[in-house]
Amino acid sequence: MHGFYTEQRTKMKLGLERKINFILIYAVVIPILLIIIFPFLVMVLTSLKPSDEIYVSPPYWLPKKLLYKNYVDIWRYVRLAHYFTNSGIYAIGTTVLTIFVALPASYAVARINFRGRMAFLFLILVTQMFSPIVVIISLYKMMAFYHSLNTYRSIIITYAAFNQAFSIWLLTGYFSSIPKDIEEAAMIDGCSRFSAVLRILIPLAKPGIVATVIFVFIWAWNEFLIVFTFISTDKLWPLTLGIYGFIGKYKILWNYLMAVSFLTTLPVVVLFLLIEKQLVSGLTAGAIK
Amino acid sequence: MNDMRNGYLVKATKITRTEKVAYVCLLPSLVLVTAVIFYPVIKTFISSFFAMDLYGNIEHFAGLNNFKRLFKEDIFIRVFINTLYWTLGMVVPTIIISLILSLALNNRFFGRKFSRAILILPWAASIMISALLWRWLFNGEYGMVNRLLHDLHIIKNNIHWLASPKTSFPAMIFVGIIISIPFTTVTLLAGLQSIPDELYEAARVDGANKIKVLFKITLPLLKTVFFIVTTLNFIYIFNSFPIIWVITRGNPANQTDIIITYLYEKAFLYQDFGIASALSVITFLLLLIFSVLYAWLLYRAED
Repeated sequence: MHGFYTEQRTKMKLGLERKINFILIYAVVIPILLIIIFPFLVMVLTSLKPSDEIYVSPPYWLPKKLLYKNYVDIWRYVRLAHYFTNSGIYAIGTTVLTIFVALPASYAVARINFRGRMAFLFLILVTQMFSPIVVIISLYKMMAFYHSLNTYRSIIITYAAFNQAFSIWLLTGYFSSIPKDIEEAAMIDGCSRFSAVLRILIPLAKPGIVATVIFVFIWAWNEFLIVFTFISTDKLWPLTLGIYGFIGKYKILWNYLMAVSFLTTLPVVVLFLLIEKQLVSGLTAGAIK
Repeated sequence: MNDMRNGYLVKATKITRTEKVAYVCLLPSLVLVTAVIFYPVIKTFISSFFAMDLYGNIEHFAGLNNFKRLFKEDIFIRVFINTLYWTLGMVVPTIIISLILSLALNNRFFGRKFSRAILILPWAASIMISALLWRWLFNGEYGMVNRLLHDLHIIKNNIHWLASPKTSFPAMIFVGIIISIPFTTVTLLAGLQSIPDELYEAARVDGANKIKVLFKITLPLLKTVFFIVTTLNFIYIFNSFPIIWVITRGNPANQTDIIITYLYEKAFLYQDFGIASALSVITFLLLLIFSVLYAWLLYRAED
């Protein structure tokens, strides 16, 4: 009997909770999600409008005439293929350099007990606070001094440095979550430390490494301030600068601009959805434990 | 823990072979970070005490002159207040909204996966592009924000959002909040999901109600994640250059500038590298003070 009553009470309580959740979801989640998706919906709708439907007041929600042709025209209107290539070079270059530098450092932090370990971690994490804006003036002067303004290398090196904190944080977390035993056994069996890492640790940490790679790639793909400061020639512009370049024109062709923005955003959103789960678990792994 | 134990074993005499391996592994990262981040920070600090020419070459020692010149500018107070307004006006609502959102999303409901996919849109997209989208949406004549408010019968006449700082600055703060919500919510959500179910069950058996569970279990356990998210948010928001640069560029007459956009303008438009360096130092110190203060407050509250 007693059990029956408690069960009933729990059920009633669950019902109440369900109601609270229901209200929470409809009163908070849906309005916020609508606000978040709103600009992206307008982006897509604007990108499908013909030019004479852009400057209309009040604006129409839907294009009167759906114009997919904008997506063809923009490749001629701006040097889109060119910007895509540059964005790719910056993003891939940054990813490669970042990972090659951050991997050994993360390995050392996660696996080796050495003096100065905490000092190193602190030093690296502190760089998260030195946002690019604080150093941009001195960096600009340095790049000018080494004749590196308007080069791919100026961007890739700077990006890689600013991604160290985050990458090392993530990678160290992943490495630490993998048990040491197998590597140690391999090393006792005469495997060198290097090949133990290469053959055992790296393959096991692959999901974490992939997440880090994609995150750095997206960061570099989206960056604006540094590339805006170091790169002034159109020839080396990535997509972000190509898009920003639209604003300078005397009348902004928003339909084209939105089409370019859509094409720029699409690949990173897809990549992001692929790694989101791993990225977040990596982010909080260190924090919870 | 291991660290400590090894610290005793190794003693402070010889560098072991494994330690050498570690140092070699760290070297590339250290070199990169030192060259690109620490060295320029130090250089900026030093050069803020020197007079510089239009190309940023050091001319002579100037003491606190750059700082004095900066404080004498009429607009500086405005920019400083704007920065506080910008940062607090964004961090506080972002955290509150994200906390509620993450609590809601922590439940199973129809369309939860879809919701999360929408939620990450502003996180994945370039801030520059988001800023540009909102600039178009807030357009007084052709923008969809006015259209929407018309359709909902909230306004009768078009609001020229970006024409006056009174509306453009809050509008940009709104944009900032929207952009900051995804990262904050998703991270808090991960924090929530890491709280073991047994704790909730135990509380339920004890007859604790939902509010009590929230304040006695959920929030205290979420503290570390909460701290990290708030600090990172603070740093990101303080440094979010593209929103203002793309939407108003600090106009009209620097009324919507914050320290970092003002700094950028001083350096790369007016080439006043002295004042710009002074501003960099102030930015750095502000970030440092806030972070330390916040950490201290949080740890004091814990005791």
